[in-house]
Amino acid sequence: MSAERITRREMLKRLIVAPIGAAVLTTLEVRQASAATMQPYYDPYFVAVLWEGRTRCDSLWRSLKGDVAPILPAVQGATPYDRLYWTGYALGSAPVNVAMRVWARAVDHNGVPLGNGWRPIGQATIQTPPQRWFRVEIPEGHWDEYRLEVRSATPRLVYSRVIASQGYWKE
Amino acid sequence: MPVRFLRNASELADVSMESPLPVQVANAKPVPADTLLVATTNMFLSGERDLLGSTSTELPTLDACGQYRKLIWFYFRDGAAPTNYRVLARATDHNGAPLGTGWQELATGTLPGGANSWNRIDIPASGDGYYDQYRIVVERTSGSGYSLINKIVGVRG
Amino acid sequence: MTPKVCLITSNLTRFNKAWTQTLRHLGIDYTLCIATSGSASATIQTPQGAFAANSPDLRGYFRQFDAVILCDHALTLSETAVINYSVFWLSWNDPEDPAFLFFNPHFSAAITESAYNSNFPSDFPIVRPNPSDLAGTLYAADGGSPSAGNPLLAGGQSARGACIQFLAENTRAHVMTVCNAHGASGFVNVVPYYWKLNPALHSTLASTTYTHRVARNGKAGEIVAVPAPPTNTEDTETYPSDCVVAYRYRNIFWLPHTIRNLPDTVNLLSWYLVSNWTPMLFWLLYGLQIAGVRPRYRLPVQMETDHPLDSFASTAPFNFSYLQQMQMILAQYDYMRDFARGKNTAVINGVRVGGRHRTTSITFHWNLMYSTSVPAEARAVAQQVNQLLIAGHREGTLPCGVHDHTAGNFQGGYWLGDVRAGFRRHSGMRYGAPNNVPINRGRCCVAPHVLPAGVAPPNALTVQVGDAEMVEWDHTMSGTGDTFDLPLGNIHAARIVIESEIEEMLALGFPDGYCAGHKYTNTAANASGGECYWQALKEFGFRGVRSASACNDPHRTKRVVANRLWHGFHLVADIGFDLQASGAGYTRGLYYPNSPTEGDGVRHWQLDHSSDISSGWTTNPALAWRAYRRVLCQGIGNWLFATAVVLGGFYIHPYTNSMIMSLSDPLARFDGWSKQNVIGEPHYCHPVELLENMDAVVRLLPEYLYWGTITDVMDHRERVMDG
Repeated sequence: MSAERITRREMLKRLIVAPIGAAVLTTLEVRQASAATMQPYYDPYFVAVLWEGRTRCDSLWRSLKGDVAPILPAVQGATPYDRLYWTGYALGSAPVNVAMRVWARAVDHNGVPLGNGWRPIGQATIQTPPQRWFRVEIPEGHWDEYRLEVRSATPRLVYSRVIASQGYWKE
Repeated sequence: MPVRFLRNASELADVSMESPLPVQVANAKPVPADTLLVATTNMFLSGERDLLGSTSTELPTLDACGQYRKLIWFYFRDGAAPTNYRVLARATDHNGAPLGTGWQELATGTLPGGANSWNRIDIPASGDGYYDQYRIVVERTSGSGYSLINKIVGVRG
Repeated sequence: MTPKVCLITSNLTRFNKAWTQTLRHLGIDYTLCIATSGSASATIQTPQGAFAANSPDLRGYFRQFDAVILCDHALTLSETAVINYSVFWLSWNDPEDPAFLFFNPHFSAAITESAYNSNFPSDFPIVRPNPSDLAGTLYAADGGSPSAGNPLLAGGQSARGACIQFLAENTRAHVMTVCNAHGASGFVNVVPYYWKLNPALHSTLASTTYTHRVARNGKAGEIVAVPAPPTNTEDTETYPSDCVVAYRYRNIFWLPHTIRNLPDTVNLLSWYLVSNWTPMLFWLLYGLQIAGVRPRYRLPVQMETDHPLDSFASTAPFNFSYLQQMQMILAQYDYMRDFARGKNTAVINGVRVGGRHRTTSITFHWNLMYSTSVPAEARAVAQQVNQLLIAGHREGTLPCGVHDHTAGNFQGGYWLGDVRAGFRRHSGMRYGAPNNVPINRGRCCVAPHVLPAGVAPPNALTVQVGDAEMVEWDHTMSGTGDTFDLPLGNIHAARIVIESEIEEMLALGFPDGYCAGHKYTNTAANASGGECYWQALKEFGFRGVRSASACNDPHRTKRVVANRLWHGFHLVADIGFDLQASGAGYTRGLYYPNSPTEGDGVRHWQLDHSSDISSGWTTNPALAWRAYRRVLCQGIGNWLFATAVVLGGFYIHPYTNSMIMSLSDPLARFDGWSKQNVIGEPHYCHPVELLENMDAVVRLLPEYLYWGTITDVMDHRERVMDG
């Protein structure tokens, strides 16, 4: 089929006279304008930030979002990610430890957890000072939801972010 | 009436193989992980059966899985009775016909976890998968029956 | 307004995923909240915090929802703490409060918790069931005999029967109804019950003005539904005037059981165990509707048939001739065409092709029309049926598609047996004789982008199945003849088979082989074969087919893809409802004392609870009505499950259910022993009863259901499916 050069005015006249028809084609040839969607593979170390924020930490086990309701996740939709990294900084001047623990669970395709409770991934204690910075590697990826909790004997702020990566390393 | 579009701001072009309609994909993005199965296995029954309850030994639990580097089998079990599991896999031709009968056994063992516990098993445990069909079978060997609630995710990339 | 409900459960392990699957299909948003226990002191964990069950904060939280739904239920009346925390909500009746939906609510007198009993409204008009005084507080339902298990756990089988009168709508419908249940244990010999009303308390409520958007009559109390009175005096299963099955107390709906509380999951959009089905789903849909929850989507209801033309040899007890069988078939399809026209639906029909080329059996469509082994007068009526189907296909009421039980070595569907010995194809078109075409994949198959130049011979073919594109050569060829052994597990065989089927449809007079604009068919044995058949069906223009999960039965080496959508091709789940098992041939009736195994409706669907049908069939005419109610409740229940939970294809084989019809009045409604068939048993017409009774349900649920087509089903699958 051919193309013809045409002025905008002429095009409008033609559209009014004979609008572009909804021709019944068995297939309409298209070209994807966004080439990224055509990639058959993914950048191997794609990284996403799942959470960033401040948590008021006290003597109760609180999720990063501050709640004490055990059924609630801190991050959802984490299925694509191989690994999670939780890094942060515990503010406060007194030398008090911050305890942290990580839970995980799977949900069905409608978002309902498969069962009660969570799978315990791990627990750790960050001793401060001098280690105000911390980093936790969560090696069990592909769970749908994670609940990350912190607790401290003295109230303090924990400023953290949770990063997740897709892709894999040859073991 | 051919379908036409405006190309280069001033050319009316007919849609054809040589001159395809330029489009942008909306609301469609390939994702690295797919949910393949959500199923409850009735472990009150005896005998070896797959996660979907089938005792047909040639019937796969999951088919057309060739694009996945690995599968991850998540499960919640509400009982602790000793249970064996086997993970079987095989390849098919491009028409979907298995290359032969039987299966390659990828893993076997005792199903981890106690009552009301969450667990996961990577398939394969190491290396890459890319098998076309998987059959995952379980068998309670003693103790009381329970429900095994499963989810299998296929991971690409 | 976005429809939004709150689901309350205390145990995610027992939470049935059919709740959320159904709501998702309706486009109703939901939030799941967890009660920390079943007692009144439970905390309700919500995304906005954990609240005491009687707290103003919780009440405020609930007010954002159209309805709050209690998902937990008891198995017997003896339990002491199931939803005790909800007692406070019975008094949250302001116009701003949501509707509360209770299904099979546990409010038994066995509850000893003082907080529950002291807060239970004194003006609540339904008598609290007492396991120590069943006769004084409840009415035994459906004959009162126990189920072998628990009627609350009935799945695709073992239904209890009921005919319910909906008072405001003035409509009767057969929907499975269990208000409460009780037995010594929760799993064995449990009896279903209806509720007993306190007329004085109800009278006060019914005359008290009450303002709430769900109070459709402006009063504080309303009887929503009661057991329907019989339509024939031989039906003696009646209930007193104070027996109710559904009630509205202010903004609180007290409804029968809907979805059972077991860890059943629904595998994406498939099903795999009959025991997982949810035959009491009607009450969830009805409860949502009368609570004023407007779904984003209504669900399309449609029905399919397999083998419009088929036959049995004349055998006892009916001894129907071929002519009589064809006449019964003609009457049924005439009715279905009219029904479809009036309701703007389409009844899909899988035509039993294969008779033109591959078999002389007179159970096949072509042979019933043309074989001289069939008496001429029967052939004439068979041809009338064919003409009726063609007319229905063209006008959209009876679309027809290919349905081939001759493709494999067994009487099954696609890919039956590795090699179909002596396969006889059609002539002409692209893959018919004398064209010399491949019949198996090439000995060598290499992906084109890694194929070295010059390796493939000139006659190599490029074949694409899904994403896999291969250059093939060294094929086994058909030769020019029409008969050869055909290996079935490849795309070349699939193309030959499907084109042969379509050729027969064209020769029968149909313009196509895929139900006209629907581009669909129901596959023989629900066996859609696998990727090569799906690819070939797509090439021939199909959009989807009906398929079992194990899609090359009985070979059983293939499953459908996990989400039943393969490169845009639909694999619709199959839900059949005949009145006999396939091994029994044809049905002997709703029940028949001399049936072979599973040879009647009651036996096949396990509806003879405590032998309360079989033990008195010949002496108690009321039992025919009991069988009728149970069969219909099971059928309608399974049909609603197909419609709302799996978005599947519900189908029957009319010809296997034909001989139990009255010859003189085949389309008459069931009327017990007052209308009999040729063997003196109650007449029953399967398509009429199913369609008329489902129509009552559709009329009761205008905001949730509509009569649609398989295209509507496939459109909706694309709308709501994940991944």
